[in-house]
Amino acid sequence: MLILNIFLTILGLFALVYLESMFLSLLGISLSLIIFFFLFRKVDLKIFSIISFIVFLVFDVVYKLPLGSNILILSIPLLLYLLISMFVSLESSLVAFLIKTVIFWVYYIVLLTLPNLFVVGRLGALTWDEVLRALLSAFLTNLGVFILDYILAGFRRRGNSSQIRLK
Amino acid sequence: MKEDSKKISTEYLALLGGIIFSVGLLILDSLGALFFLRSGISFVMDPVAYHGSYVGSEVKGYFETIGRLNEFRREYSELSMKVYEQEVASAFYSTLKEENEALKKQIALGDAEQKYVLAKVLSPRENNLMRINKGKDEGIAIGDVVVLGNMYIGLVVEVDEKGSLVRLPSNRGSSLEAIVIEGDIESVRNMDGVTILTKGVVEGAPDGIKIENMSMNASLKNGDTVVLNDTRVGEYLVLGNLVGLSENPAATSRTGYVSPIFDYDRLMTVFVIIKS
Repeated sequence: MLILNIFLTILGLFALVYLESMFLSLLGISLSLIIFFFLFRKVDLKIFSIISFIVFLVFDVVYKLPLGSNILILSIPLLLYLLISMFVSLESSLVAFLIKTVIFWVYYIVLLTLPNLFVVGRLGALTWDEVLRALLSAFLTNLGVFILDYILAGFRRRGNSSQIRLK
Repeated sequence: MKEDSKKISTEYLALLGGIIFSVGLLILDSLGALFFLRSGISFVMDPVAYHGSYVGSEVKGYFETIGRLNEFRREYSELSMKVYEQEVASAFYSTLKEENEALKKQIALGDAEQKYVLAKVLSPRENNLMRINKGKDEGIAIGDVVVLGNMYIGLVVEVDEKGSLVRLPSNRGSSLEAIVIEGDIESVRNMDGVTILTKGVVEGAPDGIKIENMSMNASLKNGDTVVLNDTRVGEYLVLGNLVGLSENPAATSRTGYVSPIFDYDRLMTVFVIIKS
């Protein structure tokens, strides 16, 4: 079972790298970010952290960034998410949707500026066009997370309907 | 509640660990200590990422094409307009070229002592009649001869201020005296050196231009040149070549058909000889 899990994880990693590159070129959205925030608090934190480290390490190599860059970049919206979730519920409401969009927006803006700091030693320049594109990407990313959540909720409901309830 | 706060603190700890871990990775990578790891992952994952990126770009290209359909349609319309403009310009150039060639032919083969009016053919041939764009205003009158160089085209049969109607030799009402000679169009210019084979009468017929009353004794052959020699049109205007010569030994005269020099449907520029 363990071997099968490892095999499936490796296969999933290949698929994720492929799809991440494709979606980044196609829509300018990060599929790994969608999956990260979708799985966050849904799977065991230890396994989740290990797989996330490996995935983002691979992306560092693929996008020719210094190793560790993606994890550092991701830690900023994650920190924001953890801080905000202490005061506001980020489960499912319009406010939660908006807050998440802003968090993803921050991620995309950081993704545009911070790698430059690691590579050439100064922050990358931003244009209004890029900021607006980042907002659109953030919206699409949040929509992706929302859709995945909705699908998962649907599965759960279907699972419950097959159970026999005893009052 | 206690469980929740424990969970959150674990998350913070994991985040802190991640940050420390990534900073460590950054330092090690800047020192080149992780080159083996980078090259190993790159060797395996770069082709996968490249292909994914390529597919994404291609699909994006298709979507962009669909999105810019209106722009392409507008460009297509603009290009179509440009093509039409070019075609018009090209047609104008062709007309000028054709007119230039007609003038050259007229200068080379026409009679320099006569007065000509340059006219354009307006309508396609109908009932073997041709309409031209010059009329009384230019001094054209009924009976004027229409030529191109030393080649006969027709006779003006109707005229108004701005245009004229020309009867072609293939019209059933056309009947002209002709001679058949050995030689080509050029040799007709100086008639001294050519042999007149026979006389004949050229008439318009439903199946073409017919030539009749040719001598039985003349040594005629298909391809000989038919030249008009009639008081109504003047002397030595080439009509065409003899074809379909009759071979009936019992007949008193020979008949045949004339293949005109021009395709009347393709004529654009003609010259009308003005009687002074």
